[in-house]
Amino acid sequence: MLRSPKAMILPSLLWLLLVFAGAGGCAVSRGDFGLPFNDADVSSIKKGETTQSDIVRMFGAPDTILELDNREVFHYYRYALKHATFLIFSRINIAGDELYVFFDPNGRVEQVLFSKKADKLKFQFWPFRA
Amino acid sequence: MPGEERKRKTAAQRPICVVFALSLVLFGCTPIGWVRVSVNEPLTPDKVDFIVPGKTRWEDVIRRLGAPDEIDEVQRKIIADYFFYDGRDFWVDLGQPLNYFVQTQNIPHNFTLGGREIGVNTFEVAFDSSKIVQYACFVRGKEAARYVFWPLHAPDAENRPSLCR
Repeated sequence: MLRSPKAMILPSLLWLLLVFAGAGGCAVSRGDFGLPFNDADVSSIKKGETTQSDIVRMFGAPDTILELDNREVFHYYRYALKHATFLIFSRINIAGDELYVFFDPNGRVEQVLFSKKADKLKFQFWPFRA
Repeated sequence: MPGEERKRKTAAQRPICVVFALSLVLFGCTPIGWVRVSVNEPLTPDKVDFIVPGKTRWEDVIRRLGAPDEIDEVQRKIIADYFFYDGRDFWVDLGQPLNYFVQTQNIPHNFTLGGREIGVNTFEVAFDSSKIVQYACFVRGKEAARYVFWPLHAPDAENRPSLCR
C-alpha cells in the first residue's frame, strides 16, 4: 500500500524538528580583548608637542614597540568580537582598533595613526552573506 | 641595529589571529551547523585602485585606508598590512538520526563530515625608504573560504586574475 505524501512529509518534518531542537537554540555574546580608546585622549595628542611620557600617561605601556625608519613607534590595540547563533547558523565578527604613535628622535610625537573599526561591528547570525 | 636580521611575525604571534582561531574552534557540538568567522571588513579592489606603485605616498595610503592592522620594517622597507580573514565551518553528523533508535543509542554512531576553511585576503603595501609604494598586493588565499561538505576534495589553486595593483 502506498503512503500518502502527507504521511511521508510529517516524519521528515519531525526529524528536522528534532535535529533543530538538539542544535542549541539561540545565543548572542560578545568578547573584548582590551578596552576601547578614549577619543578625547587621541585627539588631544599634538604633533611636535606631546612627549612619550605624556602618551604613556594617557594610554599606559604600549602593547608593542616598533622601530621604523630609526624611529620609535608605540602600538596600542584592542579587539572586539560579536557573536550570534540562531539554531544551526552562527556568525562571529571580529575587528580591532589600532593606534600607532610615531616619535621623532627627540621623543616627541611626529605622526598618529588611529583607526576605529570595532564600533562598526554588527551582531549577525546568517553565515552566507558577505 | 646594523646587521640585525629582522623577521616578520608569524600568524600565531599576532593576537588577532589567536582570537580568530579560538573563535573558530569553539563550535561543533550540534548535529549540523554553519559557522562564519570574519576579521575586519574586506578591502575590495576598487578601494585600492588609487595606489600606483612608484608614485603613491605613505600619507595617501594612510589617509584613504586608515591605520594598518600591522606595520613592520624589513630591510629598510616599511610593510603595512590590512588584515582580512574569513573562516567558514560546516559539519553534519550523518549518524545523528540513530540517536532516536533505542537499538543504536548505546553504540558509537557518529559520522561527521565537513570542513573548516580559512580564507585570507590581507592587503599588503610595501614602501621604500622614501615612503613611496613599492608594491601593493592582496595575499593569496581568499578563495579558500568556503563551506565544505565533502572533506576529501582539496581546494583549487587561486584563480584571481591579479592580486597586485
